Amino acid sequence: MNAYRSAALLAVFLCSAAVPGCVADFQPGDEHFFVEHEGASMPVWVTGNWRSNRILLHVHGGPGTTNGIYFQKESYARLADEFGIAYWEQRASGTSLGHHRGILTVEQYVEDLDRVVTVLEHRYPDAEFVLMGHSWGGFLTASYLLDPVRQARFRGWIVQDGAIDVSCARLNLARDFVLERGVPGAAEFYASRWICDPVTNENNQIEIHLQHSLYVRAAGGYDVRPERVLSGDETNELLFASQFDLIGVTQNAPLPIRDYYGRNLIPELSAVTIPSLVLWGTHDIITHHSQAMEVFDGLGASRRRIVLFEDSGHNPWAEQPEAFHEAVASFLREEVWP
Amino acid sequence: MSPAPELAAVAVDDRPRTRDAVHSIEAGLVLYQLTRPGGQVGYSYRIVETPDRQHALVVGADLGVFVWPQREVGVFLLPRLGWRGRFDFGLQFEVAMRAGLLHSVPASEAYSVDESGRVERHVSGGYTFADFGPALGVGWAIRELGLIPFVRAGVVWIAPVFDQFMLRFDVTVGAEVMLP
Repeated sequence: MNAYRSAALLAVFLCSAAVPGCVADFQPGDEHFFVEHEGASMPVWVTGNWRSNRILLHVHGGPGTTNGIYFQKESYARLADEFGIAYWEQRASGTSLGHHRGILTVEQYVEDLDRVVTVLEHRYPDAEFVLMGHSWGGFLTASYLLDPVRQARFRGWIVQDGAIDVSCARLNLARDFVLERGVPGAAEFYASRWICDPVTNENNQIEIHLQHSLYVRAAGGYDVRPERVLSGDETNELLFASQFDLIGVTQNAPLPIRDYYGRNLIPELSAVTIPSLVLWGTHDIITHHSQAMEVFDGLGASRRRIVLFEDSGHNPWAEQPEAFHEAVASFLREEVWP
Repeated sequence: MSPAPELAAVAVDDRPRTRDAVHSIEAGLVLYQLTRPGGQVGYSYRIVETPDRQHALVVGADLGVFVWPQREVGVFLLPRLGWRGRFDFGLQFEVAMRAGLLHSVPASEAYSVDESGRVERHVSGGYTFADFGPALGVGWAIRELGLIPFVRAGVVWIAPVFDQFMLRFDVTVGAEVMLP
């Protein structure tokens, strides 16, 4: 009888000890859904003041990271007070679900983005949207906007430290930066493994870009003060009280996307005529800051702005959150929704 | 007249049931990835054990579910094979290798868009992954109750998640009930 009594007690204990789910970043009124396409279930978290019907569609970097690194920052939190932000976790990134990558291409990601936009328009029929991309998200959003029909679905474009020019001429600037800094092991790596022809753009970045990015980070080419980008507390929140998944990020990024490395979209940006904001940290080496003015000059938009952040590298939204917020909010108020 | 029957010597085992049982069931609270709450039930069978019963090879399986709000509901079935060792005073250790299946379902509404641009809302069927990894546990046999409260911690790799092995942690707090 003891065994049966014990089993009953155990069952009562377990049923009464329901542990509530706790995800700190979800706020009352937030919405969450998945967009499913071509074998991937991609989460979209719509937060902030989306009832204003002014929504930023946020396209994270990587390729293969997550929106988890952005939302905690004062810059994004303050934007969310005034505007809605739709955080889309891309295919094979963050917390998206699926079995196989297949062959990852820019075209596939553009198609995914198109589906996400369609679902957002369906769910928020009265809303207007601004497309916002960081790093690889800059390349992806630029690729999307080159199609005038797709571009017409947005009121504006915000590109921050975007990998708009991923040609070998630009990538080699980062290589040279690392070599000048004398990072241990880098000379051998770049001599033996680095292939990036500035004339033909033949490259092997898919195989080596992760190692390259680690050397750039070691050389200080990402952030002026890395602790401003992801603190210990923020890491703990991402690990233990968040809808996002740091482990997924470390497993995935950077993704081997074909037809990405070696390309330069700057000559095509004249097709972008919607109001545009270019944001860049002047210490950014991984998406080299030297392209910032070229991106700005290449735009076809008559209403365009550029803001350079003197105390930031690749992530001005984290290193200079107040200035970043002011740049984005004033652009949205004055150029997009005056 | 038949001879008087001899009294047979019968060995009386007065040890508590906890030490006799080869079958057991268990239930526990799961913290999947340490933050995603859930529960599981399990069954274990001591297929081989030493004469003093201090060491045993144990097979079993756990069936559980966890919830990651808005993101994922996971149902897992994890058969396991492992060793359990127990001191006379009740302390028990275990190590097991687990391999099974995890079915993950997106925990929010899902949309798809067909070629004509029409949006369809549906319930996602989710994805089934292979799920495998080791676990370590410690427990304490309360012989009077036939109960062994335990804590287990483990790691599992889930695959293929976009052709990757995704690492997850799990902690289970529960109790094992030795069946008569």
